[in-house]
Amino acid sequence: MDINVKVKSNLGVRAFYLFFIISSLQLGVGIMGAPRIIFMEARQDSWISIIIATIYIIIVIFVMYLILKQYENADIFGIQVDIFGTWLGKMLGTVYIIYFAATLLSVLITYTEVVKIFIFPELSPFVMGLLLILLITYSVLGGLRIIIGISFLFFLLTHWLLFLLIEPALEIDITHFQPAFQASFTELLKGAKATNYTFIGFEILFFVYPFIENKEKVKLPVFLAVFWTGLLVLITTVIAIGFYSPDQLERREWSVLNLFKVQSFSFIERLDYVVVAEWMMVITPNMILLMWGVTYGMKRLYKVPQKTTLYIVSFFLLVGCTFIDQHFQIQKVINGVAQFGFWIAYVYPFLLLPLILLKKRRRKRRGDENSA
Amino acid sequence: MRKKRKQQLNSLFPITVEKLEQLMNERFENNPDLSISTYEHQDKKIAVFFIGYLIQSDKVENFLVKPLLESKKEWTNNLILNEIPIGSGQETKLLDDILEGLIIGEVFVYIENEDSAINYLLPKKEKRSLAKAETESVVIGPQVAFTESMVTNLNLIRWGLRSTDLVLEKIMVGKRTPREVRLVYLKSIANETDINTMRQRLQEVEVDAVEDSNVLMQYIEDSSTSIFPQFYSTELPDRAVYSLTNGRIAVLVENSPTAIIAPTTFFNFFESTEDLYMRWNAGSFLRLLRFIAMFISVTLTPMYVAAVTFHYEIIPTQLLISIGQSRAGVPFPPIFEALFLELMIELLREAGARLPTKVGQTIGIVGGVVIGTAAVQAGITSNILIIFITISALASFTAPSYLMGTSIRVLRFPMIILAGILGIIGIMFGICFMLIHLLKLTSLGRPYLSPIYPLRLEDFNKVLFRLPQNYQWKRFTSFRPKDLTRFSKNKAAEKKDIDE
Amino acid sequence: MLNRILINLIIISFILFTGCVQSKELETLGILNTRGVDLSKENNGQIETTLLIYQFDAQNKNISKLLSGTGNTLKDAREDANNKTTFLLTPGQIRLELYGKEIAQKGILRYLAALARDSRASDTMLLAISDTTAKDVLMKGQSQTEINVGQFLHGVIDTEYNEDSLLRIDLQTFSHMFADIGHDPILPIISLENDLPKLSAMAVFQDDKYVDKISLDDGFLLNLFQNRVSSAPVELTIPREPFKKYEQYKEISKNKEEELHIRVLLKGKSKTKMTNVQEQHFKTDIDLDIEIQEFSQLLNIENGHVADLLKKEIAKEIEQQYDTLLNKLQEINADPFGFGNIYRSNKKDGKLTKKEWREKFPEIKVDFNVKVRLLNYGTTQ
Repeated sequence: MDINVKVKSNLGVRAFYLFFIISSLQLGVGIMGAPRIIFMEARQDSWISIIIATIYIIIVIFVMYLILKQYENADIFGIQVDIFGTWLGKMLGTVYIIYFAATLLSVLITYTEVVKIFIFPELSPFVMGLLLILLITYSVLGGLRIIIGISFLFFLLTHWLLFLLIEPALEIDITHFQPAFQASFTELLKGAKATNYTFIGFEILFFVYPFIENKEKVKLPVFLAVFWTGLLVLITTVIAIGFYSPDQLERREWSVLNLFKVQSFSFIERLDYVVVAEWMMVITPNMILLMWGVTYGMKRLYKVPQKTTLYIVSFFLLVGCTFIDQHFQIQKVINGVAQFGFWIAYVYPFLLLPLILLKKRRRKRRGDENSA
Repeated sequence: MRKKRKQQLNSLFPITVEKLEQLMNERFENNPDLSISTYEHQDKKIAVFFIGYLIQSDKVENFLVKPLLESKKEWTNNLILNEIPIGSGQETKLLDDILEGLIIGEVFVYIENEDSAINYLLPKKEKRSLAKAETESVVIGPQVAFTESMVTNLNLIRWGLRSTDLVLEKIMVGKRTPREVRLVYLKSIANETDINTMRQRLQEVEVDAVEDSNVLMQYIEDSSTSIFPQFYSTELPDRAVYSLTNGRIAVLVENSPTAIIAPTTFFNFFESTEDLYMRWNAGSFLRLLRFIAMFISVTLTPMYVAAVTFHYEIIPTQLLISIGQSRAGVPFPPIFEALFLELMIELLREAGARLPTKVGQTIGIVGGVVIGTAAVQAGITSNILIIFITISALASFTAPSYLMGTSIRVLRFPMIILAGILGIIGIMFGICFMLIHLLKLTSLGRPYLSPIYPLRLEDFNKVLFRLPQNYQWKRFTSFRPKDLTRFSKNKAAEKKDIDE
Repeated sequence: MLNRILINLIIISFILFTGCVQSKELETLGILNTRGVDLSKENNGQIETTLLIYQFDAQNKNISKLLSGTGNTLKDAREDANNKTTFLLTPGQIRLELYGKEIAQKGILRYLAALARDSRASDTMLLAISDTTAKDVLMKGQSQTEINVGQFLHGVIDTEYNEDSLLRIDLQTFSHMFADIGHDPILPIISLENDLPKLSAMAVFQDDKYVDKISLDDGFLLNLFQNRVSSAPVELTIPREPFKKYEQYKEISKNKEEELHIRVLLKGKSKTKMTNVQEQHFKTDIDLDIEIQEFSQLLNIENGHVADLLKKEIAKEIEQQYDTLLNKLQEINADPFGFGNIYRSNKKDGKLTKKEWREKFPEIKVDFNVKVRLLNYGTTQ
């Protein structure tokens, strides 16, 4: 297996699009329920938790960037094989793939549940799963350029939803944030950790990095993406905490979606229906990127044609989303993914970096000895 | 094409005139159209043969036969080529070439015992005169449309674009009935890769006959299964010229009154040359209006169906009451009601298109007004739906391209079905699927949704809206033209202080 | 090849889809517009709902219809009512929920929780209390007014809300107020006058229980306390004595009243601060911009002195009104002002229980401080 990836010249992507790749993978089903989960830990100081989490992620991204910079044009699969040897490296690579697939499944079943709760209680999860998987398959078949196009276009087409938050934002009750700075440091950290299901997704940088044309410009869009996601989560959380009283917020599972309920226009009411449907556009790029990660990883590690992986994983997803349809099962999957993601995305890069630097130094020394 | 065969076959000549006549008759199966006249002049037999109605017979008479017979000279091929006052004489040796030449209007002269025949291209083509554009009619600006005659069309383009840069490559397409196709572009502006791609695609078309440019278009498009047209087919010469000056390529097909323009983005289908002739702000407004119309046309009826079938909650009470009252007593579920009405509108449109203009209008009024009112009174449709359907039908006609308009109208049907089955989720699925499909499409290898993706902000002022002409100093960069600037930027940036 | 697979997949899925989501065509539904909830008289513990529905029937021109049903839960009662009609009753368009006096006194939390849980029900539906039973108001109202009484009531309440006279309270705000610690909700009361329903007062709640009522004017004071009021028509009553010498047409006036009534258009905002957290002392500053529309006795406002006098009297009057209202609420021990909320947010640890506040609320002291600016007097002076 080659450590560095040879990218066909027509597949290069401008670094600018990293912004859309990362923020559309981060924004997904997580944000729908995020305010409540964060609020349960950090109460009225949740906003501090979110800021902490965002800063932490920016540091993680910087570490990831340092890791990637040590190589000419490598992705995580190549790096792991280089560091840990073929056998262990491939195993770790497989862990990434499983993690991506599990995240994909969690997104799929969560959205299906939301649709069932908000729009069609009698909808069969199989049908919903089939619809989404059709979309995923059709787009992933188009290749990386199309996938990035979708995340870009759908990103633009979903952000108008922010305007619908103006109405609830006007009804914020400031007293809900007072007295400020009450949460202890551990509570704040717990709150920050509670954001992780919402924020995971920036790991995709490890996958797409080789495809970036102008690598010198990678940092800015990535940081901006993380900042933007952090800002959005912050905005929604602040609105949700201000809009709902603490007791209400604790009981509202999808608090962000509920915010849209109060908005109405002269020709349409109950924007929550529209928003839930529109959310399909939010999660589609999300799922497509994850699916691409899975197929790409399988190709890198085991040389399985991407189409084969695509069809097989689609099939298993369909089966999975048909049978996991109870609320607590879904919560279990989400929690599992969140835990998994915490170690893979938030902690692992810090372990990897020293190893790589060590190896590099040793290699350099050996190189010096050889030349001497 | 002719040169290739020369190597395979031996020359037919020399041959006696009688034998030639016999051979020709044999090959033409004694077709009465073929006229062969033999003359004897200075003891030499001369044969002149052609198909009567394909040639300009007065020219043959006056400039070929008369000089031939009246002169006292002893004719040889060389002498004929030098003396006969018609240009473009060529020597032909092969029978197949002669046969091919005859059917495109060539006249052959053969002098016995010479080793080749001389042919003159003197075709006569029946053509109609120039007329106003029908499918892409415009209010202001040039009205003239292409006709079926290639010569006229080339003439129109040449007069619109008097530049030595203009290249009109000739390519023959079609195996059984070859047809002349012209690849037109401006050498100094058009992108080289695009030209090569187009040329290659045209050369690789392997069909026996090409009926029309719209048919040829389907052979050379990037995705033949898609519902969206990927090349623009226009009947307006000014539009073709405008596209050429922007570095795009036009393809003209003999006997076809439309030109193919490539590459094309999705947004090109909503721009009319009229936008250029209007003031920039009015032009921008009209263009935006067309985009909104397209969106309305695809989603309005499905939204109604979804809301009435599944999501009565999202309709405000007052509106709900009026919709409910109009729905009361309608025996069909909304999805069938909508499909039925949509079909009716399509019927009216189709009937109107087939009938002569005057009758078509009558049918429109009778169908639209009478059937509509009657249907509501009979209680089989609700009048609110009729309003929605009419709006979305009207909206679909705003697309300047008839092909795109039709695509949009066809798209409505799957959307209505999706809405009727899965409500708002179905509509969203449809929209997502459509967008993904649009992203996947290319036109001559260029992304179809450009300049949205890949994002090129500097092209927005040509696509989504229009800036004043003075500010549009750049060409459409998404197509990567060779020469990017239309005029010096300095002119656009010129600034003046307040006039005292 | 691939396209064919995709197309086949799509076709198959279409076939599968049909019959997976139940359609609810508009004309087959009885769309609940207003629901009255009462305690059932016959069965103890059960509730009786009065439903005003829209039904779209080709044979019947009248689209609104009144139904009633009893049951243990709201859904149960709805199904009971559904047995009396061919239309499927659905709650997605409820615009007004009316609670009878008795049931409101017992607490309405469980019904509100049911509404909040149902994603179909709107968060913006209005809530109100009936002076008698909800059934009474709806039944009699429906026979008196020509139009759908639910729509009528909704309109009556909505108008008041829109002109800023009352605090806008829908399902969401009510739950919000209820769930906030140290903030008790209020609701409008509908009563019958000559069998015609009318907005008559505001109900004050202790948690989710209706305890007493206050006047609509007091309702306005609560609104002014909590929101920025942009233009509310208000009538103020101030003593006539100080203005005697500025009156116009004194000689022809037969007005013997001791009071002067002024109709004003009021614009204002308020701000409450805690001056002493330990002893629960509050200070509320209220800034008012006033446009005068009508006097009961014509005044000559030609110099600043009259205007100053007028300002002073109006401020005094409003301060007094606030004091009276607070005293009354302290007696009832219900806090629709939300002082408890302010107290909690100023407390160091930010913790407060409902019980704690009930003990403290009667003891709190508030200093209302009204500042008035007279903007203009219409087209005449």
